[in-house]
Amino acid sequence: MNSNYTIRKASILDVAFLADVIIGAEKSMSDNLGLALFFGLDETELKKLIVAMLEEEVDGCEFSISSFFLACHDENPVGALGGWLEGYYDDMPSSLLKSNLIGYVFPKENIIQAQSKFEIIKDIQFVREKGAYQLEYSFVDSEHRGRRLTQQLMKAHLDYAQQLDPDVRKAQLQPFENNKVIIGVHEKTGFRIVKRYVSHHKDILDYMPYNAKVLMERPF
Amino acid sequence: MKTQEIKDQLTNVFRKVFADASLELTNDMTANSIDQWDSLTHMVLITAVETEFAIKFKLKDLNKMRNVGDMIAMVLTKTEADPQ
Repeated sequence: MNSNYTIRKASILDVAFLADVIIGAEKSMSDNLGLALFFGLDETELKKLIVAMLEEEVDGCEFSISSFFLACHDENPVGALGGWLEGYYDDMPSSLLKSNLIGYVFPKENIIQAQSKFEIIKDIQFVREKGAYQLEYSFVDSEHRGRRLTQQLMKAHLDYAQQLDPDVRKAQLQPFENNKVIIGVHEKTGFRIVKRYVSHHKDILDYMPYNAKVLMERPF
Repeated sequence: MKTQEIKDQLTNVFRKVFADASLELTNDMTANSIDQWDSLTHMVLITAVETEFAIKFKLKDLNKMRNVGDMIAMVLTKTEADPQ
């Protein structure tokens, strides 16, 4: 790796960058920002709420600062990848930690109005496997692509996972199927598609980047 | 409020959120006990409970909540601290 690049854990000082990472990854090469569309928010409002969730410093889900490693160029973050060991913190599923964060931070009326749309995404919701290392929200700034930063971030996560649990057996991620670039990058680091989830709901493409997600796995 | 009153009110909230008029709550009931209790309906449930009792859970309390019994205990604590 170029000597100007370093990999480090994210901190509370990185929340604005992490919010941009999450928003960029949620869009998955489309204009649809599912989290905003579902909850009737614009991107600016959503970013503030994502920052607020990150600042709660809850561990063990995709809205946890502690889940992220950053790639930095001259000490400035230019890439990120999130990851956590599912169920590691008090045995709580990350899906409930995430729901609690959204429920705690998002306006009540937006949550209630989103309920009618849950049916749309039901078929592409994964139940994350307890004990498996989960990866989510991969991003590298366009000016810094082609330098194997995602692979370096992945290596940092896989090493970290084995520190947390020497017996960890697999890592998983679940990109949208349209994101061939990120699927290809992860295939190069040993991930293989093991399952495909499709939504046939007529409104899915009004809210989400694509109507299918794939579950990718890699053994340790 | 007494524990049974809270449980009765919570039963009504659960029945409404999960659209199941026959749903009966038990203290050891968890998200695994109700088919529709997934991560999406969980946030609606918490919002509905907070609205019903005019309370706001602390995030750390939500993250410790393991079952309906925990929820009843937390509502009891909250309503005793801030009686309606």
